[in-house]
Amino acid sequence: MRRIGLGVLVSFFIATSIIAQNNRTAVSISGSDAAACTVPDPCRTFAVALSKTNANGEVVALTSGGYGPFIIDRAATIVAAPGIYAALVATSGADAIHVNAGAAARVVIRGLHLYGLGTGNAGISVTESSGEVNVENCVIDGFLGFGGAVGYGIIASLNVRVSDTTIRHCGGGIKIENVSPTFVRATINRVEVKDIAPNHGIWAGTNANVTVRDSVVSNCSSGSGFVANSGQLNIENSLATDNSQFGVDAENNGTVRVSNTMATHNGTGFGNFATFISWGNNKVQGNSTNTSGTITLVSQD
Amino acid sequence: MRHIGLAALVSVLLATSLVAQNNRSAVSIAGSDAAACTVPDPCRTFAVALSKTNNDGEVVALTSGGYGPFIVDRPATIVAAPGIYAAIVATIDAVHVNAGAGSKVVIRGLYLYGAMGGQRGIAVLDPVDEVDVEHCVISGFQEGIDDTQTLRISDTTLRFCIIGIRVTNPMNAARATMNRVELRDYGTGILAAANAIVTVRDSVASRGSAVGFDAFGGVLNIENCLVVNNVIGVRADQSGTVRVSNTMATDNTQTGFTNFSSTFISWGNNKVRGNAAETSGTITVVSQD
Repeated sequence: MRRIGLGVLVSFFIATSIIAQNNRTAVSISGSDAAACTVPDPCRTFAVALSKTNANGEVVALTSGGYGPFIIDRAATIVAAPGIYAALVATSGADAIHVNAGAAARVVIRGLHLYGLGTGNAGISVTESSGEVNVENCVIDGFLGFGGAVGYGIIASLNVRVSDTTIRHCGGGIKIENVSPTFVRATINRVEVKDIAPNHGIWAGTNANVTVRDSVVSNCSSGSGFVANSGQLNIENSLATDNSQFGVDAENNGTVRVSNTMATHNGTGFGNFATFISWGNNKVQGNSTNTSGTITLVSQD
Repeated sequence: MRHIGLAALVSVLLATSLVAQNNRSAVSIAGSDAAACTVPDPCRTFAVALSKTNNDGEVVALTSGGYGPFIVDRPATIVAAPGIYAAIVATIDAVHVNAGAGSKVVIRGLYLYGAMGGQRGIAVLDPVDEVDVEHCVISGFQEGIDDTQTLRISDTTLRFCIIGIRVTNPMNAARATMNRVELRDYGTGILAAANAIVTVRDSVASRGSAVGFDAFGGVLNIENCLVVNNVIGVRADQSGTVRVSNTMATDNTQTGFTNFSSTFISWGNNKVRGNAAETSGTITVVSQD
């Protein structure tokens, strides 16, 4: 009887240790995935550290190095400590970070450097399940796609807020779209998107409401800078330059509203095949064609 | 026979080690150039670390210190970890890009010094697809950045250079975009010469012994900037084109805006006051869209 009791007690402790989770987990270049993933006993990869993190907890990179691609399967903050270079290289045809955190889950991705080496699918993919995803102070590079599929810096069918982030050398920069009858919303602040091909810099597709400010899209070498394709795209205090097709484009029943923005050295500066609203304070010169289609001027309030 | 087999095995291993490259290389002040140049086993200089890096890979500075001038001979990202002071003192060029046509190069977070007589902070004079300069400090060169190709600069400070940023190409278009760039204490801040197409926004050019923003044969678009304490704030010369919007030019000792028999376009939303003379030459005002 005493042996049975001891066995139950041991089982209880084992079970407790298996489900033990941290509010704050940590990774380090000298860590081990067999560790507890705490700050004093860090793990080696984001994927394992996240698996040991409570919902709404944090995963912190403590030292500079690479921590591997991962899936965010719960509400969590993934962050590099300030001053730390935490990088991820995606495998061919895969995402660096794939968010599938559950409806209403709040996710933060901050301070990471994501590399696709030319064959990655997406730097950050927000296409399955989440409440709101915040991308802050990240660098996303080299997601051109694989096997004929175009890669993106960020692709989202669910809400995202992006700030202070650089996206370069991707097939498309930021694509926001939800083909089901559900609206997806995005706010983009202080973002640089550059050297994009073959697609576009920032794309508001079906059911997308996107607002961009203080941002720059340059050198979409076979596409356009800002595109409202069926979706709505508000642009404030931004720059579109050196894009092959349009600097800013409304098409396929999309709506552009643009203010205090410069479009220069694009194929066409402002192009409208749908609804294009300007507050009359934009600077559109030096393009092969400055404007095409009807630009509707509205007064400021 | 066994000896031949062993020799072959050794040869294979040697050859493998010779071509072994990293997707991510690293340098550290405590590293050695005989090391593998990985994060756990870093090298000492950018030049050697880059030589052990795959195309499109990264070279990361892990600790603060000096890492020596280098040539970027392949598509790569050279980056200081945030919070790390990775410095280079140059006698000629600090960073010379010769990565090959179609290559994409990123230079991020470096401090480049030329006070000992350096020629260029970053030289982009050979064929390349695009060079991105981000979060750098460039000080004391004859040319802070010298570009004949395609260049994007952001969040970068250039000071004490004879020319801050020069963009020109004798044959083809040389394109540059600049966002949040500070130019201080120079001869000419930004020089857009023949075949240059340059757009600069949210930037400041202060204390120039000649011109802040100079379209000297090239095209220079200026949005939401400040030019102050130069001889001439903004100039179009040698058939160059200036387009300027939402920009303040003040306290320049000759003129704020100067058009010297070239093309100078304003959207009528600039602030030009407090200069010895506010404008010179024809300023063509166009309406906003």
